[in-house]
Amino acid sequence: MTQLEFAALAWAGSLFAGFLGSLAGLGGGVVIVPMLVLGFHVDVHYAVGASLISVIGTSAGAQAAHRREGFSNTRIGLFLEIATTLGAVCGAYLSTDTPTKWIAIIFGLVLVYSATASLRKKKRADVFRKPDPLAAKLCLTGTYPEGGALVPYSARRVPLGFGLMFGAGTLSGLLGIGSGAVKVLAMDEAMQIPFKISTATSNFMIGVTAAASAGVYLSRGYINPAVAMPVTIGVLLGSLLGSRFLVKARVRSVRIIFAIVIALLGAEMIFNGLTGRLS
Amino acid sequence: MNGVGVRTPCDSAIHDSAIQGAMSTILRLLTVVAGMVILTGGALLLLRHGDAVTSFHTFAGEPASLRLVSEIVVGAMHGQCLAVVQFGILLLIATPVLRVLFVGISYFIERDWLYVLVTAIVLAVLGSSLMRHKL
Repeated sequence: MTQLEFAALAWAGSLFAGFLGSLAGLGGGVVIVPMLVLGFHVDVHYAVGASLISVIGTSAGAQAAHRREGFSNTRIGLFLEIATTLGAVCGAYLSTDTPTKWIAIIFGLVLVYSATASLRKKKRADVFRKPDPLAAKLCLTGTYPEGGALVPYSARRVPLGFGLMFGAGTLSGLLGIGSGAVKVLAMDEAMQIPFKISTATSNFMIGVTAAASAGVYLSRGYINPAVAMPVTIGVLLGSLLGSRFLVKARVRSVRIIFAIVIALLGAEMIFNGLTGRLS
Repeated sequence: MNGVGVRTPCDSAIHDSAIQGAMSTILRLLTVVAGMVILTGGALLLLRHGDAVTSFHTFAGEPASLRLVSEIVVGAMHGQCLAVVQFGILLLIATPVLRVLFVGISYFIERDWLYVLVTAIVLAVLGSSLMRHKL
């Protein structure tokens, strides 16, 4: 394959991944690594590095496109970033010593989990309860508008959420994904933050988390510019297109199709990892 | 509505101030510039070496010229296409770091020392990952 052919095909694939990813609310990053590894036979480390850069690009692009920060809670985001950035640096260092085989298997498992999580029904936000003493001390509280009134909320089970966020960061650094699914799990399920808030806050955090591991990847020589260039531009354009499209049509069928694709990719990554085809 | 006593001291005008507007303009500009630099480097790469046969199947590790911040900047100045792409990637990595710094400045203006400290910790972690292999 020539440089031009690779760039054109990887660009087109990433554009499509970014577009579908933003429609399904998962981000394109999650399909980039399988696409590069299974489709283009790119080494897993280069694929993870390129994906990581595309995650930063998508996050920065989304924030540049939307003038308002939405309902993101900066304090919750910033506080949890201590956990995600520490985890991301750990994940990036782990990635060096982890055999390709295991990265593929872990990646496959995360894909399968993300697929099921994306189909789960969103629970309505709980009614406000007394805030945790720790959450109150850290100001992890706020209000959001619903039905013309301001509804107060407060984070709960802060240590559990903090721990899960460390895990999300580690996965992000190890696999080069935004690990939005795990972040939302930590905020929705563990900390019981309303869905609107947790989604917006997770978008704010994803870029920062990815930047923490990208530094380690870059300085270790895992970021190949010829691979990262078409992928980053493709995913960025695709996700911007997707978010435009999303305003018009919020289609559940796209979500279901994407979830099935992701689950199948996950199964193939696990299979390839187990049979040692990738090393 | 005011059932929560702790809420009021936590509220802030962080999203509304003029400084905040200027900061988000800078971030938006940086994102666009980073994208442009990556595109430029990519165009140079494809123009010069578009027909070269490539394979990324075997991991080799990038040379120091594409790993170290100082050498990337020097290479980009000399118009080496891969270094230009890598420089754009560096700018992209800098965007969220700058975003955190700006949020920290907002908390500093509001004298919310707890969150100035939180910001400092996050920036220290980010800095350690970006700087560790610089020399």
